[in-house]
Amino acid sequence: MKQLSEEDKKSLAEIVNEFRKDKNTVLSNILSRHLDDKQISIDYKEKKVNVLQVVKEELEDSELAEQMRNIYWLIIRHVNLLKYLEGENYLYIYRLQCL
Amino acid sequence: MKFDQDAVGFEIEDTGIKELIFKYSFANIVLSESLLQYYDNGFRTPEDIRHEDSLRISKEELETAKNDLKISSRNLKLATFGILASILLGIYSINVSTNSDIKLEASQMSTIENLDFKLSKIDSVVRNSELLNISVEKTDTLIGQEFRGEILLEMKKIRYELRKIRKYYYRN
Repeated sequence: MKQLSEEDKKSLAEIVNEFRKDKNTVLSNILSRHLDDKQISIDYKEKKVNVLQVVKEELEDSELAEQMRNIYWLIIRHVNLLKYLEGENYLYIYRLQCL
Repeated sequence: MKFDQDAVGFEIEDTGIKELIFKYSFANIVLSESLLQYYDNGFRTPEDIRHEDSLRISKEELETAKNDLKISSRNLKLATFGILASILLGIYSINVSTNSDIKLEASQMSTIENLDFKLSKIDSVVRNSELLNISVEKTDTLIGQEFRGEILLEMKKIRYELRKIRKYYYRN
């Protein structure tokens, strides 16, 4: 196991907590608590992934951009950590449905 | 949650990231026991724990060695102090014995006192002779008659005792 960064440790803690809560753990369950007023839409056929956020009047453009950037890095951090853990045989995946 | 035109967003275009999102969004994730233990042990693998244990044991051994070294050092200081003290005491005792006053024996003291008494008597005879205006020859005769033999004997005794004292002094 490589030395994990503090952010990676936080992500791993979320993954472990989610797994202990519900054995049917998927990425959306792990990320859902961070989404709040945001949504990740995945179109498997079109091969598109969109991140959307409700526009609030009280939010300034810079704050909105900051929130979008944060959610982007959150997704990247989680998927990369999952990829690393799978590569090191710390986790296994199985398909839920045929696509 | 429903989004309409009041929503803003972006599309993730990185193919690698998109593939990973697809992969982990449509698959069930199962964590291994070793990963759960890694998390429960505060993000430490069994190797990390073993390494930390051996490090802790090494530190404890180092502490013990340090304490032993301290005790040895203290003992060495005590031993050095003891040796120095014995040497200094020896030197001091030699000094004291060579510098101390020589004590006279009782017989030596009585000889000196006897001579002193007789000399004071001669002194009184001489003073009386002067007062009575008696000639020096007559005085000398008076002293000679009374003390000469005894004084010579006492002087011999004192010389003998002084020789004894001198011998004792140089021997020590």
